[in-house]
Amino acid sequence: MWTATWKSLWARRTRLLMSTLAVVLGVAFVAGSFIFTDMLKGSFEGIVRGSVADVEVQPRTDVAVTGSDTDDPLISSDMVAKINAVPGVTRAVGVITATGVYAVGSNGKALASFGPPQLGMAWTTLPAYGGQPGIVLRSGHEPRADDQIVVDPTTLEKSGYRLGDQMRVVTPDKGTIRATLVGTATWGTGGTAGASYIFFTPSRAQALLINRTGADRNAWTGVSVQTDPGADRDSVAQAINGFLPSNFKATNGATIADRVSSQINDSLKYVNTFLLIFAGISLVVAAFLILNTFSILIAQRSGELALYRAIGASRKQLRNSVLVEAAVVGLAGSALGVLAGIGVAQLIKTFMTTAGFDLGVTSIRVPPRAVVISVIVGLTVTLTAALLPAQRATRVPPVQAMTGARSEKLQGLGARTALGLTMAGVGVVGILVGLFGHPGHDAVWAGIGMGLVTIGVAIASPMLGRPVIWAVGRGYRAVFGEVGQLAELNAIRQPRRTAATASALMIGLTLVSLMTVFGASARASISEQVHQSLRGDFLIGSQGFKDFPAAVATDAAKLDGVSSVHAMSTAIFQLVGADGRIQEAQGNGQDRQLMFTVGGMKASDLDQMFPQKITSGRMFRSPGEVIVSQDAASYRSLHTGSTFTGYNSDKQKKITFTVVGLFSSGDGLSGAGIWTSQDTFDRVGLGSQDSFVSVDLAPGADREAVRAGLDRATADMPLVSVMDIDEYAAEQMAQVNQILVFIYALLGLSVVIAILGIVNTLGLSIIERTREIGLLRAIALKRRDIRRMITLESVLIALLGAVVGLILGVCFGAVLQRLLVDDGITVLSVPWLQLLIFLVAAAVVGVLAAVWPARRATRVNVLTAIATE
Amino acid sequence: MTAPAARAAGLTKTYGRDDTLVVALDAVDVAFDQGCFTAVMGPSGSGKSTLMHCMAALDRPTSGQAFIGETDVATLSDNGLTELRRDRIGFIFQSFNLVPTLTARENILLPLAIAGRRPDPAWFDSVIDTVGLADRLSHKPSELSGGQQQRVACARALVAQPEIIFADEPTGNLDSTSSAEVLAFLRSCVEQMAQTIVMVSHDPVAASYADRALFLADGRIVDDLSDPTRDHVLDTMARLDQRGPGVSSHPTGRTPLPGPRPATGRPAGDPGQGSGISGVSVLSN
Repeated sequence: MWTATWKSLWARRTRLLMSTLAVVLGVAFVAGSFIFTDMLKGSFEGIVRGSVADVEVQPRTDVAVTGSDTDDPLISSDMVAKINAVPGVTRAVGVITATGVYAVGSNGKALASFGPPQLGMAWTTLPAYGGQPGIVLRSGHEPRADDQIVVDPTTLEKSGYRLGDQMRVVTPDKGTIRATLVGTATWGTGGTAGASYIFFTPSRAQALLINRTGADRNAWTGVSVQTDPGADRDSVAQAINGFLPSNFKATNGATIADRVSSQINDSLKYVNTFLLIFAGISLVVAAFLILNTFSILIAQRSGELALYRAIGASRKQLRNSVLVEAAVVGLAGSALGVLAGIGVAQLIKTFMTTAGFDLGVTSIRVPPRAVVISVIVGLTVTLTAALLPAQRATRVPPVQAMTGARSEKLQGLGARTALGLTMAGVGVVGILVGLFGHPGHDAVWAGIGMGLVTIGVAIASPMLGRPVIWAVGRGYRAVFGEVGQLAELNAIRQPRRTAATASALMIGLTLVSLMTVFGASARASISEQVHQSLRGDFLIGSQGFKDFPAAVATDAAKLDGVSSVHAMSTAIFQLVGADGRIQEAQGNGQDRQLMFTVGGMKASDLDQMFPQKITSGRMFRSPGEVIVSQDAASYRSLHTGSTFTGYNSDKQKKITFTVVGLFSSGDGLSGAGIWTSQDTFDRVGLGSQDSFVSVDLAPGADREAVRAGLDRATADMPLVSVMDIDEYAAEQMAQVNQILVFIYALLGLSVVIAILGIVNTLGLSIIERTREIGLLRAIALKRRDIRRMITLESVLIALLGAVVGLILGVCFGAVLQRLLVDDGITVLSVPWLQLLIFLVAAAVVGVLAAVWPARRATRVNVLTAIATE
Repeated sequence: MTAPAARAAGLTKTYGRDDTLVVALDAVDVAFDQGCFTAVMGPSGSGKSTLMHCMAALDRPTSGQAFIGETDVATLSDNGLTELRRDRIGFIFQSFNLVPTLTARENILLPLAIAGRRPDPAWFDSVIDTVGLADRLSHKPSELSGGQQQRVACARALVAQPEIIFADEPTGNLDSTSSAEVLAFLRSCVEQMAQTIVMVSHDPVAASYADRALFLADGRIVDDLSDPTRDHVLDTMARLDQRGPGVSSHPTGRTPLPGPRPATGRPAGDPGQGSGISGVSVLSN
């Protein structure tokens, strides 16, 4: 029996090719997600392993210092010497790490993006934890003089410079400096995970990167300690803690590495889940294809299956034989899929790199987990999809072996339609509950509702699709006459088959048009909000809302034609509990409640940058007073008169805020939910840089001249740009587009699988209709007509999927927009032209999908076709 | 006298209901003796195929009983029927029904493979010798002639040593030379191996190889000839044809028959149940 199964499988290998390919693509996506995540993880872990020493002395993030010192927490060189004297310490060195230090390429562009950090560091030869390599020199030599720097290999590559060249480096406080490139290096053996490194000599790092107002610049942001072999790191750390200043803490490197790793793993889980959602969609579409293929093959083989039944194969044997075929397809597809997954991971990596998230040099490994999960998933999907056809195989009556009659019986659609419509109905209720019932987790209700509607419509589509087929059929008859009618009749001959094929495309197009409508709505909303909310003729901001020197605002104010300049600074705080304890941030979702951003401005700037209207209480006057937006007030249960304490870990300072007023921004942006005076920040050394500046023109000023002046003032800061409101809105919208393109790319695979599905169904149908095609050729049709007939059928299937998908997608897009009204998606925008393009594209897909099946059909030999069977 | 290899008691099979009721078998009582080669004759729509389908556990009767040996087919579950077909019945089909992907040897051994049994080498060799296919065993069906394919099918039916073989128009798709080969082979099986064979046929020549010819019309057995000759059969069939309504449809709907055809001259335009039966039986499953 197995021989027979195997041989029959082998004989139909070409017919199973598309199913296998669908599994390959779906599984490749799953495997690719895991491989990519693993690649990220490897990259991060390499850095963590390479950059953490046996014992690390770092500023505490749970202790507040008092006093008027506005410096960043620093540790003195005396203290480093003291640590060196601790028993068990081999060597301790002061380290410096600063963010916002980036190189400028030979083309004058900043080598910085808004994702991973750009780090400036002091060169050190101290080994990492357990004697592992710390900073690893990749080429050239270490910085030996103060005008020499070493960068990571990716930065060098992107800069367009070579070793020995002079490079400009932007520092957060000391402006732009020039230095000679003398080498490349990375931390440990890992990649860079998108971060960039610039290494200075320790003395240069102290001079450039430490913002110390006092005379003694000989200080560090931390200390790395190498311990003697056999020394207990915890006890060494404890000994060091005995004399450290209270705002620093020595920790076993392993503890730090574990904490960082677990944070990385947590965030990578999100990345993985995000990718896997799209992989799942592809697999669902692939399942449709597999189900269809097996159904068709079983219908075609009913005679053979009846023979098996007649000569004594039990139902179970037949079912198992079909399932074994599915398992072979699933296994082969999964195995190839894992291999293809490596390519997918590379593709995602390339995509991320283009989008600005550079992973650096990272080797690809295939984690065993990826293989196991991918194979299980591939196998499960294939077997599940084949279950129904396998069940159908067992229902072939043995007597059919004798009568030889093909069971091309009419398929009842009543129960199916009822089931589909019921599911869709339940789905609609779910959506309505999510939209209007506000049961909590509205999005989940609506999301499940949309899922049910999609599946319900897919089930009921043999019936629901009829109006579409009817309409397209009318058009076909009118334009193509008899051939058009034949195409339509062929498409409705097996309504389930046609519908299942179209459903695969429908799912893809539902999601694509959903994202399109949502993206258009997001863009329209952003544009509207920006135009409504932002005041000022020019806006100065930086990529990723990063801080830039306050000098920009000062310079801008001096320009001719500028009437006023308004600046906003920001600082992030974590909420301190009533008992005064500082809870450490976890780097996960819980932080949303814990962390809050405070905007700083001059009291006179109220309502100048953003619409801000005091609705109760008054504007802040003295340090520590804040005004809170109504939204933030209700989220954090604040009212006029409440006080709360925030802790800023950069400066290790606690501030107690008193709410003196609430404000409203109408429907517009408020910049931040909580605002305080610039004075409040200045007292603790915060807010020394701006994050946003708006410039008002004097009446009659020369707009272009002012703009040129502003461009000059920001010329040294490549990340900072000057925009008017239209440009600002366009830039914000461009970010939406970037995300949209990424999601389109991820959805693209499911559309590709759906196209394979059309090719497959048509191809198999043509094998089935060989005789009929021969007959048509014999009596009337030219080759061209046959080709046209098949192409039209293919286009009909594609249009059926596209039309239903677009309708669903637009509805779902509207639902999503309604759901997110409170999150700022206030405008519903349906990009009809784009949707029309999708429809046309679907028709083109139909034409392309028909190429191979049509060629096959036109090659049918008239005589043999009629003679067969 | 030993018990019959198979028998039917009041076997009735109807299709449809009320207005569209078709009685394919009408309370048929018949016994097929062991070691006997029986030909079931009758025009299309006479119920001969239905009789065989019900006897061979391929289809369930509406009422009455069909026995294979002492087993009442109607009492068996689907699994029981499957095992019955697998272990005790052999089939030969008009359209050979070989699995195109398997070689002749694999096709022959298929029933044993399905049953998970090992072939008895001596028996296998003797079957192969008898059908004369020793040098064709590694060929695929598409590389064999029609007669050779049908001989492979015969070997497949024999190899499991079934109690009874049902052959459905085994010569229907063959030319006269191949037909003669196959029929001679079936005859020799009966004589040398004491195999019980029930064969449905249109062909009076085929019937002449049998020990006994049963004639069906309108779902009833209307005649029963021992040691039929071709002329006997022709006479009987001609008589049946003249009996008039209820029997209908062109007997050559499938393939041209070799040799003399039964006389035609039945009323044309009768309700076409001949081709309908097989169609209906598929739909009803």
